[in-house]
Amino acid sequence: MTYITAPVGHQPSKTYMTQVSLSSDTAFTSGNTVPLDTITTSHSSLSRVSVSSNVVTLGAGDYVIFGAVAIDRSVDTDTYTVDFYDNATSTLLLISDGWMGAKHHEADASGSLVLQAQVRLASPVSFYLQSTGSSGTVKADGTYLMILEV
Amino acid sequence: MSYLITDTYAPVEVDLLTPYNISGSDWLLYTPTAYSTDISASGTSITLYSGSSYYIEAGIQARCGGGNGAIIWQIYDATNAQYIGQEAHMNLATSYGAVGRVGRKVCTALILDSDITSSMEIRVRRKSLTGTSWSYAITQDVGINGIGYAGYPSIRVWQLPS
Repeated sequence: MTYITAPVGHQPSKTYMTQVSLSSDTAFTSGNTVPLDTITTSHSSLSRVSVSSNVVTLGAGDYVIFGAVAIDRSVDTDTYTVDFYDNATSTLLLISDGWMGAKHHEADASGSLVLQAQVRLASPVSFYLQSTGSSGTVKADGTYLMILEV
Repeated sequence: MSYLITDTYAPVEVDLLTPYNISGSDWLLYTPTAYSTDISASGTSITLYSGSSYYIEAGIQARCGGGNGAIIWQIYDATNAQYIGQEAHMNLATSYGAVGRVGRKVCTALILDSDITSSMEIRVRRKSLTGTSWSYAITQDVGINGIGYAGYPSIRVWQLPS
């Protein structure tokens, strides 16, 4: 008897899309977690994405993530980065595993960094965004992640 | 005996609309000859219909002839008279790419099925502007004002069936 099943992580019968964003401009200190406090989901009863205390949790499955973090910096003498971090271990989630953070090479007062990820998760993962070199204000009008469950 | 277990995946339908000029503060659109999604588009308006959620992202092209200018654009919900989603910025005030939101030059909005009563009209609207001598008219294979900017910008409409 042979069973052929869909690959692990391909549970959704539809594509769900979730936006995680920030409700208001928020003061920010370099090295802290980027604030994210709002979630909007196309299929709220089915999505496996949640956010709490600036931490985004993804259930097992396949995801495509893209978005931006906009920071108006009070100090602009250095480059700055925004990266994905594993909330369980506080370690950097790696580009080689599909998590693509961003680095701003210009010493400018403000900017937005484009993040993206494409991952297949065999088990749930919780992550946060951390930025270094970027004290100032995280802008609500330009900070968001779009998360597709595919 | 074999069992073939298959899943049905509802596809994400996508349409590309092309902004080519501005009328007032709203971008005029070339519309596709055929739609993949259930939207319709005419002039500056895109109409979304209930039954699905939609993700919209819109890029534009504009030229600041004065050299020192900045522009912000965003999705405008004309049905409910409000801006929705995240802004996009292009800032040429000091040097190209040197200041102000240099990363993602598209505005975005995730519009839920529950936000749409029966239909919703949206537009891509210029929200603010500094600088002088802006131009927006794109001519195919010519660009803006005869300056050979490559290609057209696009508005991507993703339809997520409920």
